[in-house]
Amino acid sequence: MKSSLSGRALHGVFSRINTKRQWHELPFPISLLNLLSLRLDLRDKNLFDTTDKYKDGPEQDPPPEYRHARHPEGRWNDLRDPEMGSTGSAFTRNIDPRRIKPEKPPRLHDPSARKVSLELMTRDEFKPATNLNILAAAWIQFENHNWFFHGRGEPDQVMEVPLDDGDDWHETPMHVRRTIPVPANHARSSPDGDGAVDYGNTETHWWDASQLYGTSLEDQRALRTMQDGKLKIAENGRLLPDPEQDGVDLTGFNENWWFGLSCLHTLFTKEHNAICDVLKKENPRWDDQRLFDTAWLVNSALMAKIHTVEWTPGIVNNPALWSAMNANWSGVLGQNVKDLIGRLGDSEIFSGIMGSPAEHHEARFQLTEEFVSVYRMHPLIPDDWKLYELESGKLREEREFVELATRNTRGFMDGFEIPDLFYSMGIEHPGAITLHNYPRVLQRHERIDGEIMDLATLDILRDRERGVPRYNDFREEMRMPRVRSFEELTPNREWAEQIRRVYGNDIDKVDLQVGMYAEPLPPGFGFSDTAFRVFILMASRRLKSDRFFTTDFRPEVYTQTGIDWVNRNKMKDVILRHYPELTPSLEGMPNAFLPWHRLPEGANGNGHRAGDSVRKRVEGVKKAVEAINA
Amino acid sequence: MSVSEATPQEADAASNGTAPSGGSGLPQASLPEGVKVVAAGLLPAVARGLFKPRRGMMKRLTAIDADRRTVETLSEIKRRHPGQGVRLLGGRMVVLWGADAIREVLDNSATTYASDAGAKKKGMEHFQPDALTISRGEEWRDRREFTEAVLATPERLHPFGQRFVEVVADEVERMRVSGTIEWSHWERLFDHVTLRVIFGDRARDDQELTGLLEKLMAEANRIAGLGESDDLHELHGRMEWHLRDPEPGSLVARFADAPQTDSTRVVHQIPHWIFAMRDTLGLNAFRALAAIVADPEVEKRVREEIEAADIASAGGIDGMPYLEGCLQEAMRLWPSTPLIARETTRATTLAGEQIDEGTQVMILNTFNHRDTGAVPDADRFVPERWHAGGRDHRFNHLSNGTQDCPGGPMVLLLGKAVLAQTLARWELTLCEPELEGGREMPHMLDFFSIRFDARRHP
Repeated sequence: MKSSLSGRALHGVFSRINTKRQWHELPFPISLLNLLSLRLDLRDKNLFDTTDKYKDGPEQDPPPEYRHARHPEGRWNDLRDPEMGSTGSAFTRNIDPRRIKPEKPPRLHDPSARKVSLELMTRDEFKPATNLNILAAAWIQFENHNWFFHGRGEPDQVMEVPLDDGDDWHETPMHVRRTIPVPANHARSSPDGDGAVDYGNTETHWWDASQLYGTSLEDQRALRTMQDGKLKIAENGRLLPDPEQDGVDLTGFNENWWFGLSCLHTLFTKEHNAICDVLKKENPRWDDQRLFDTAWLVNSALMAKIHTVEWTPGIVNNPALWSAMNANWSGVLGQNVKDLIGRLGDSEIFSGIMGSPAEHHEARFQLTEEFVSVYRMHPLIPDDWKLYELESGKLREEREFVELATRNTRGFMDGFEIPDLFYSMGIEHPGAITLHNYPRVLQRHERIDGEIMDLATLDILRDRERGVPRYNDFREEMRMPRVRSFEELTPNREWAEQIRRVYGNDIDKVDLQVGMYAEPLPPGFGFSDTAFRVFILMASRRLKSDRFFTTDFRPEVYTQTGIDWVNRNKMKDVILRHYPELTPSLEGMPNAFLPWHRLPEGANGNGHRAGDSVRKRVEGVKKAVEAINA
Repeated sequence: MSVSEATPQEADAASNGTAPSGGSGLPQASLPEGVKVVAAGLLPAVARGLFKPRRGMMKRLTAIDADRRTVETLSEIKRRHPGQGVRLLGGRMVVLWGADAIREVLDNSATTYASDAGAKKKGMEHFQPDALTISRGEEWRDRREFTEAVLATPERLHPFGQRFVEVVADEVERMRVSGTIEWSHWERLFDHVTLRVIFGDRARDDQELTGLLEKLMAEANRIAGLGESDDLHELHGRMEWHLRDPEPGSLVARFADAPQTDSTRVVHQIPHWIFAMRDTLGLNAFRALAAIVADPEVEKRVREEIEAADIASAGGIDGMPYLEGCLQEAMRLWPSTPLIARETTRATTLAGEQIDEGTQVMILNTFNHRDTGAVPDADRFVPERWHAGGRDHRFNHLSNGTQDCPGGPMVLLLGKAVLAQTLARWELTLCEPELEGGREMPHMLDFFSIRFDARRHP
């Protein structure tokens, strides 16, 4: 795409400033203009197709049922390039594929990813992210499962990670499954024969709630009641069990299961069915398929909105950005700023993007390996969990993560009401995304299939294996200045020395994850500025490329009720629609991912009265909800 | 500033409360006296550049013979208050000249008497924020241990001494001289030697590294209004680059076996070695060379010692006591560290008297080294003075006590090697400045202006 005159002017000014100072070090509103310039630069220079180029031919006619509905496998979103973003299609790159160098031994193990895990990642003490609640951690995993998965690999195709003598890992060397190119015919023969391959996404690339709805017609048939458009859910309001895996729920994507995911899947399954109810009432003659398709569109758009206007502002809570939200900048600075702000999260302007023409900026919309890399946020997960009873506000149990995850999930949840679990996540903090805060439990994580893995080792190894550059090279690719020394990387002196030791004084060897977890964060940020660069590029693409968020975000496709549903609801509304008893804890909260109100504890004497007042308020809310529904 | 640093002593002499012999504690000086000390003693030290000597200012201070004024002013005040020193400015500052009191302070340095205060700390933070010399307490012990291990402080001869001596011989041989040797030649010589000794032969031409440090140190002279400099990251990056694959025989190759923790901050310890070796030793050796050449008697004895020794070997260089005396004497006469400043970390007693926490304790080398009332032949160049060995706590160009210079033995080895190799190759005549051997030495010797006629020995 040719950049506009103003875009080039911005680039000219800010590329010079940014060699010394980053956007967040500049005063508002200069910082905002700087961000805009960065986004324009990234879009011009950091979008690359891999094997398959964008097919820019004439529009084709989809099967009629997919003109106004999402395809289970993500086909026919773009009518010129129907395969774009579909299940199994390759991840693209934010870096010129000619410069991608998947690492091989000895470089692959220099230093050993396990050493990085143990010496730099291991949680010494739990460092909370005090401006967020655990629901924010569950949410991002929920969304990652919507966006991407590289598959499980093959047991006989492994990498061997060298271990230090003192390592207590149960096998030497550690075996980690390779990422398998999916499908295999995507192998790329580059001119210099670096053996780079395209990896496929087992999920659709679209923001289509495939974690809930699955990625094939077969998945959907198993999940649907095939009546009134609804998804299956038990009488007691719980998801059904997965017949093939003990302790895990039946839903679109149930890898890496734990109660937080289960709660969100339950909530949005119920939301889907609630949307079906309303659509059915308004369109009594609609058949099951049409109700299902429309509710799917509405539900997935609502999730995209919640992510954009709630989760994101929660985790990148920068005053310079958010003060811009209230000002009428879009009028002064035009569509570019409007897009930028919208992507960052004001609901009104979000609606502005929604319904504008689709645009891919001349590279196929597919998620990128780099996007996957910056969403590695395992430090969000606590090791030790406190579980409360909503009604009394009392701490009920303290548990370790293993007791409430994988095959233990359903059994654990049977002992609680779902609102208790939401409340427990709502009031407690997730871990901060920094060094020395990796959940110990995930460094020796037993998968449901019995495989034991160190996810911290995996997080490091995956980037190396897939040719995502190490930190300094990555920054250069994102046109950020390289850091020159360990001192410059992190203001934490002890970390600087530890990183120096692990990487043998070579700043250029520092892994992307380590650099992102070590670097100083912009004010209000829950993750790194380096990660943010990929985010500001890709987050807007996820909306701007999707026909159902742009050209076809219109009443004829969604119904007016559906459009209104997306525009008028936020996470809090969804939670309270299905669990109104949470009202006291969420009352007045501007954002459901910020820590909720703690209810007074019963144990302190006036708990009984508090419990009564909560009950009264809950009853009031229930009556109000009934009145609205009637 | 001081290039000095050492092992802390268990006993805190000050708190033991024994009043030192000789003199009557620390009398109070009058306000005019206090102003004089500040004007004549402290300001010139700051003006010449606390961290990086300023060429123009050195010339001007030399022209007015500023250090002579310092000595005269202090001598006058000492005559009136013949104790261990005086208190100034209502007790906020103490200036010491008694050997016992100086020893008391230096033996408890980095603990009771911290060196990480005031202008020194402010300035040094600009180019070496976690350096040993501005550390105290546990961090100081940690960094001192590391530094002593790398520099082999307890050993008279560094384990890599032979290589260092060979590096010096090679660099003196490669010095490009056409008829004269002046400061620019000398500075370049020491630049190459320093880079090779610390980082290895591959680093010989990394003048960007030493240039960055020079730039930062020149900025640090300002003391006030120093912001965090981007060049510091650049400097650290360049140093780290040399650490990636340490060259055998270099000081950085000793890092792997030196005791260290996360608070050692190994890279922060290197800049001090660079400027102590490159700048401080460089200018002191240049002055020593001038003093030697200026006095035919001294030069004759030095040349005899050179001829008798195997100057290609570290052992040979080590065994040159007269040359060593020359180097020490140059450092005594023209101390490149004009003053040592300490700040009390708690209320304590000094010279038997109570002093408050936060008292500034000044040891003015400029005066103490030239105190004609206490040092015999204070103004004369007397290398024999150093033959007896032992320490005189009034002479602090390498400091004394806990924070004495951990590079002391290396300084003497490298300095002697440069002088011996230079004199062995060249016949020198001192052209500038005027310096008469056997007479009283001037109080200032501007090393920037030193120039020799040089003829290669056949």
